[in-house]
Amino acid sequence: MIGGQTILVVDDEMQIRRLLTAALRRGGYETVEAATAREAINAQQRFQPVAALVDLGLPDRDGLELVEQLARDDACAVLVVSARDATDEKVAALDLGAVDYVTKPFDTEELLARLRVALRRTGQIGKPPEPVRFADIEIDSAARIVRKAGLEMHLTPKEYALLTALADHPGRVITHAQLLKTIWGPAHTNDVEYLRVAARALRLKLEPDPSRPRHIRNEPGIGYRLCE
Amino acid sequence: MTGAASTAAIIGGMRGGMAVNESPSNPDYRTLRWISLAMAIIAIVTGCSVLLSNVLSLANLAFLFLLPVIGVSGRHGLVPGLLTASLSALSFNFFLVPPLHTLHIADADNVVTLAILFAVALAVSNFAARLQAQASLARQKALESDTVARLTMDLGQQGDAAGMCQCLLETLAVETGCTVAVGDANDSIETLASASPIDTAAARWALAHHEIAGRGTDIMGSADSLFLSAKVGDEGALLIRLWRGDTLSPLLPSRRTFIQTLANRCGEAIERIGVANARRLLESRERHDAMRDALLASFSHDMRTPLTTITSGLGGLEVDPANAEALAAAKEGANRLEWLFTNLVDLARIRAGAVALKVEAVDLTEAIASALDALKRQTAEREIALNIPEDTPLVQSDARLLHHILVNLIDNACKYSPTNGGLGISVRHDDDGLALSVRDSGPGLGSASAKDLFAAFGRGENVDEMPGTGLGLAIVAGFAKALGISVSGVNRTDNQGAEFTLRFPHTMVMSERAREQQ
Repeated sequence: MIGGQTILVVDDEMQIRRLLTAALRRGGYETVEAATAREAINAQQRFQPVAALVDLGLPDRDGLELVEQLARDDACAVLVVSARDATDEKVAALDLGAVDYVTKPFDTEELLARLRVALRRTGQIGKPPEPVRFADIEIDSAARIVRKAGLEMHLTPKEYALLTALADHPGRVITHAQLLKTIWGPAHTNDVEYLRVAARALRLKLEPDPSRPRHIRNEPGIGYRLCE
Repeated sequence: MTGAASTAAIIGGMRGGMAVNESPSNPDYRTLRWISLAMAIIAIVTGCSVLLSNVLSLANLAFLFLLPVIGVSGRHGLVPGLLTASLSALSFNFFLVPPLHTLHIADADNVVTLAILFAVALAVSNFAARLQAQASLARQKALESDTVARLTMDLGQQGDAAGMCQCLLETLAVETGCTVAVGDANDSIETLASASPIDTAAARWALAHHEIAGRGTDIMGSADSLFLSAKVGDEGALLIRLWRGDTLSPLLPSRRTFIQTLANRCGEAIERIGVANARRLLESRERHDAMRDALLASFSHDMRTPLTTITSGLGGLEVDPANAEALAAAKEGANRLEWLFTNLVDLARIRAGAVALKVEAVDLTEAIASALDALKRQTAEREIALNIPEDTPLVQSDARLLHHILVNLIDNACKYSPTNGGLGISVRHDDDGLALSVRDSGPGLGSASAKDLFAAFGRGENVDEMPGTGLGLAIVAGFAKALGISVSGVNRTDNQGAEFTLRFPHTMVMSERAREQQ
């Protein structure tokens, strides 16, 4: 089913485009390349890609603007390809509608995994909620119950809200600001400490080893990610 | 802020505007003037009245006698007005009221006439005096605002605080006729007010309360000099001393406001050039910073692109068993190169002071776990003993920089420990704050001093055979400094390796407030 899906690759460096294209082809995707923001917008309209990999350093326009514009198309998942130390631009891009990021230099397997996670989102829209399962944990959102190894766990409302906010997009990074806004409201988007405390409490209840978490993963300075 | 505000004085200032309220005329001459004016008008009025007495009634004639009263009291004030009123009444009585040519008043009406004349004199002189006072005040205000405007203009032409103080000094000397001294508050109390202890006290009061103090005021009025101060921005102040031998008469309250205004203008002008200079400095520094950041960013980008191509390209190659070992070695090399490059760029940022902080709540448990995740390759084969209490409080820090620090510190520990050597990471909460320690199982630090250890390219003594450039600890030290946390390295007490400790002072340790929001 994956075969044939088109991915837009936006980078002004030809070498990187070639590399990304090669990796994507190996994963069974079709690719379209763009070296500038203008080309990227044209390509999106013409080929309607299911995802776009965007480098933020473009010659003709601010990369963040492009992210915002590309992300307006709900059918296109935007992923940012960015240097490891460029935390601020990653957060900005995520808050503007990018669904995830890939760090340069990238690992092909990781790139494809991130892409699969990002594409899963677009396929799920409109489906009724059903229990989410990962490892030995089950979230029954209809009954608002969380079970670990079959045993019901007692979570505070905020812990439950954090878990479901992450579980709505398993594998995807959700920024601190996004989580805080969803769980505590728009007035608290800077109160990262609420999130830290809730995340720790959740780990103590759900993780086999809370000091080496496997499921509720921290992305330093960016946000949290739920891993299976 | 006031910088080079000079202490200066003009001795024997000129006599000037203080005299605005006084009339230049001789008092005797003035008396003569009003008496002759009164006599003249009364004579004319009396003459006319006598001539008209056959035509007009006595009551109407009485009105004519108001004329000298109005004339004199309007021009010369109350007392001459009252005296003129008496004179008018006498003349009226003597020449017009029967019995003629006597001062006897036969009729009660005439008493009323006299009373009316007195009342008119009173009212007119009062009114005229008020008008005169207002006009004189308006004249003075106009002169004062001219002076303020002139001073403001002069101040605008000065390039520094000293020139501005000189302008103020000259203006005050002309305006008050006093000897004036103007100085920067920080260094001038002693210079300006050394004459007597009460002067010094008045000067201190003026500075502390921004009120005029000293001679003739309610505050230490027996001092020799008058003191006032003017604010220069939020911190600085000017101190101004006025004196004139023993003869400095108390300044009228309205003049005090005026000289205070002059002083304030000078203080504001000095603040403005201070702000302008600071802004110029800031702008040039910002331009410099922006250029350096752009240079760093473009250098980093140009270097990283080929590096990314190599590392990511190698990662994507199909593994041919014949080349597996060579490929693994190439990958390892490329990764190290990439890591080294990242560290070099980080170090350049620290050296250039281009580390921007984003302080937020950080959970050290998470931070350590994330650093270990980032070092999966280096830590996969090792036993890592974590000792982090569940109730470890959050700290205020920059999560990204802390991540860099931890990755470098743990990477360093891996590098100097045997291939399968264990590591220990622990967090301790005590009175000084939080301490995070990373223990390795390497050869220890030898005798290298802490300074050498954390210097770029510096390395411990016992590590000659180890790979590495010694950049890691320099980055740890640089980022730690930027974050305000201290870092130290010692040999383990059991001599089984080295232990590096990050200390977060208790001011960075967060309270439990967030728990209430769960």
